[in-house]
Amino acid sequence: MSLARRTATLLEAIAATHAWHYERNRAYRQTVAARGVDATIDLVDASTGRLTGGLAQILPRLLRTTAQTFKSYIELLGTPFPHDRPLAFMAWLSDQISIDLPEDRLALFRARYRSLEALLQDVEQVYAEYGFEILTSSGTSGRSTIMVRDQASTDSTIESFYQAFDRYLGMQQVQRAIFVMPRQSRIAMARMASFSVKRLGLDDDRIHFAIPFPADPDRVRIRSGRTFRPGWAGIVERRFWYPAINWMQESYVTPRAVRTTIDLLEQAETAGEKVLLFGGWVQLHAIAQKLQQAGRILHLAPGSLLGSGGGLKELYPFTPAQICQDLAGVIKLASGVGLDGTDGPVPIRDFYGMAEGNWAAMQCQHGNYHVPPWIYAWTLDDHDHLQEAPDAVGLLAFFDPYGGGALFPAFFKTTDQVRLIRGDEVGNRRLACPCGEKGAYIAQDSIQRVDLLDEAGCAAQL
Amino acid sequence: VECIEGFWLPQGVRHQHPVPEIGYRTLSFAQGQPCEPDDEGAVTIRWPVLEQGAWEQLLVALRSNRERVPQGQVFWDRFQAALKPVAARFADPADPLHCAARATLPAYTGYSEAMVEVTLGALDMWALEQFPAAFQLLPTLEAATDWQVMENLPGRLRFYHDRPSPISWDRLWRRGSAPLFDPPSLPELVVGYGAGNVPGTALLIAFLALTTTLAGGPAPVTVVKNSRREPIFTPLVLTALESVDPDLVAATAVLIWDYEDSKIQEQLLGQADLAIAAAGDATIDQIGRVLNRAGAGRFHAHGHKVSFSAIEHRVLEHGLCIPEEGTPLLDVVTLLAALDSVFWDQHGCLSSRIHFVEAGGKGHHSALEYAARLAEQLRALAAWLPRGAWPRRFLHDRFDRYTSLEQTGQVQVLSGYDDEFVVVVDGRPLDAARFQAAVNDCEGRVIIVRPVEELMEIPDQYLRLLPVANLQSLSVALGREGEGLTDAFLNFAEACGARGVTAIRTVGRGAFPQLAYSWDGLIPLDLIRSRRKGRFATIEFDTPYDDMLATYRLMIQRAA
Repeated sequence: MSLARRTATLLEAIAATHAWHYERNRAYRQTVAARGVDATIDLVDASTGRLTGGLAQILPRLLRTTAQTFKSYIELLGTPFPHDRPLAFMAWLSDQISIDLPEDRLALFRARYRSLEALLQDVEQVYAEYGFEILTSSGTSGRSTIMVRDQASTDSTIESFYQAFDRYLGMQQVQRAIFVMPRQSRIAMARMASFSVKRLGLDDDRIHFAIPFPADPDRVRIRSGRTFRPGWAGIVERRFWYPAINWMQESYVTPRAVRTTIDLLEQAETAGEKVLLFGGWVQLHAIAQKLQQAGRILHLAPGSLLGSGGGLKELYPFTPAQICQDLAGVIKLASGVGLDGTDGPVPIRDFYGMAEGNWAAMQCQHGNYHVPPWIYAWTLDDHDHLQEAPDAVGLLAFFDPYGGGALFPAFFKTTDQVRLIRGDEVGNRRLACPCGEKGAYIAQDSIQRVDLLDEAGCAAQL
Repeated sequence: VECIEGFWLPQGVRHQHPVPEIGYRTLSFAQGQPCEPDDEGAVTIRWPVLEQGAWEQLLVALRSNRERVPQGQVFWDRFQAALKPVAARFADPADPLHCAARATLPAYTGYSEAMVEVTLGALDMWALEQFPAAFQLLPTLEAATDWQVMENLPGRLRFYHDRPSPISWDRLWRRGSAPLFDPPSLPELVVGYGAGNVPGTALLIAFLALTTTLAGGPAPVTVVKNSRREPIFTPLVLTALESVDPDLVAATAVLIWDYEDSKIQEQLLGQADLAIAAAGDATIDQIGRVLNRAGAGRFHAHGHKVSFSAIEHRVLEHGLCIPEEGTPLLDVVTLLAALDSVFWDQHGCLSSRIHFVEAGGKGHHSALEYAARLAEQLRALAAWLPRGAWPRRFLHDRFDRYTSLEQTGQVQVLSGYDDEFVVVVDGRPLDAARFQAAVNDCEGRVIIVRPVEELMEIPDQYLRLLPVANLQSLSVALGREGEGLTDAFLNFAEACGARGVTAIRTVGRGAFPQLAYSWDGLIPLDLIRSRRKGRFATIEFDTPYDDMLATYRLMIQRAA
């Protein structure tokens, strides 16, 4: 498909997706209608197939902010604890999705739940026929993004992740997959990454989760130390559970996860299996440091890979580049594979994505993150205008006309500032990635989380 | 690339001092953002980098100039006389001084040209003639229990102890008439730190330091750290003043140095009798630590502050108009209240963030009607005083957030997505965290209108949710023609002062505070005397309604 045809196809799909959800999705309609957008938008001139002049005007107005959309329950409910107000939460959830949930089932919900996890399990169970998967963000603020996917959109996300993983990590060859994360987690990236490995057809005994405890949203919240329950429950959380969970994490969970991972890697090394090791930068670094301390260098079978995702959410004294360097020193491919004929480090690939996105941008061997071709990606300037330049730094915005499925239009403005290069789309070959992959890509080391609350001078934030 | 000077030294000192050999640093800004010198619209400033020895030489030179600076009332008379032609030059669009300011300030700071221009033409809005009276005040300990009249100044003054006692020991021991302040101790060296969020803070600090001569002694040596974010306005004004009367500013220097340079900080603060800092809280902590370590001087800290507006139901009565002109009073109130939030795009601590509107019931405009009219005024002001080059995305984010809250039935957004402002009526119940979040939302022309049943709800339900140290001004619209300060108003002001408000003025005056009154709880006497720990609150008027109309007429006259 030519790039022009691809663009036209995506724009038609965006217009159709917009129209479909505008009619059905109350939260989306309310947001974009307030910005002056109607149900019908013309992005492509039907007679000529060319983009209309209104494109630059209309497209940015379809974008919702990731940081606000699936966190808006906090303000609307007046609490970051939806399990205190399950019916109000369900009303909010109904507004966020484009399908009508049977109202009579609201009676099945309890007046309160002991935990958010309990409420989310009940939602999935009460509406079991929809195949809802309720996912959360990593919740570093203690206030999670809560978003729902149905069976169809979960399948499409898994397929999206699988395609990306397979294309960039060559996963067809993988014989063992090790995730340095809990088996049970609602954190979107972890869940989708592990699902996509299942899609490979590996047996369960070849997929390992090294963190032995579930990471339900309540524990993740307490561990962040930033949001506690009100009253006595909060005092107990703050004074007891918060230090206890973090002590457990540091003194037991992380060491055990590191030990388990190294054991599994050693097994793979011995068996000569191609292995995929996947985890956050901090976890991968802990493994590298443990191996360094032990003076151990692993030699994995050619075709093995290290994968990371989710960026560095916490303050951490090492950069991804430093972590890669440490990993390269202790996890190598078997002899003869390195460029200089000696042991070469295992390739390390990062991926970029977010809970609201049904896609992952995989890092190629040149360090750039490639946006899948079914995503229409742009950057926005400070005034929310699309940046026309083929090489621009701004907030990443993306239109995923297919990923949200029947539930919501996945048109989002992120809080990540990136350098997005769309050389192909304007026929500028000099801007193409050296890896040869076509389409838009995010330049290496250009992703920065931007706090949207500005601070200025003496009248700054309280 | 042509550099303009982001510092100022008296001509004589400049000639003695080896500044040209020392070397300069430069910084470029365009549209309020740091940039490269060659970028389009870039304005580049430069300042000399002084080593410890050069600083000492500079202080010696400034000290030797002290005797040139006139003293007491003579200083003040000459200062006012010099300021008049300077103000006229800044107000004259054909004057090179005006042109220089207009050509550099908007691009460097990001504020709109019109905003800068209006300010340049309004330097006389500061009533300097009140200053001598401010230094002659003798507040007594009674001020800690009740509002005190200020001799030769309109308004009232009240003092709040940092640690109030349930028993007034002063009253018990009949010490109420004893003076609140210790005998004067004039500073010989004042070190200032100017913030860059609004233009001219360094200038304000320099002026305040110079006014201490009104207490009778020589003017101090004044060294002010200029802000890298707005280093232009102060040198321009000082240059103009020097051209009229060089003696006035012969012992004043405005330079740029690093807070982190502990040697220079200790060198300066170790000799300072008074340090005045308008800066972020973290910087103030840093200066305070050095001051504690290096010197014994007094410290006037002006950190993060927020301001509000209070609209009484009586000024919202249907049918009220200005008698001669027939202008509806609602238009007057909303225009002035809008100006309090529009000036400096709410980047200044004096800018009003939340407008509290008292319900009057039948026969009165509601908070919603007030907000609708406020939005119209803001739309008109967007043409007269356009918003600066700040990212629109912050406005969009707030617009989206509040429109999504409309479904609660307690929130209404009165502005449009494309407006250069956001006006919201928010009637949701708010706890401390949500109220603080609402206050934080109000930057860059975002105004939340909050309905209250009665004005007393403002201190009792809202201001109590904020840290005392973060409160600053309250702009009020209230009263009736000819009406003075009623007991009800003084009780309200008392409650607001107790919560941390340090200045109460009528609407429309937010951007032009009167320096003779409290600035963050400090009055001019604090520049020269010590006292018990605590803060002042001042009321800057005697007849609120009449003052409001006077401000309106002044603004209309200016706009014309």
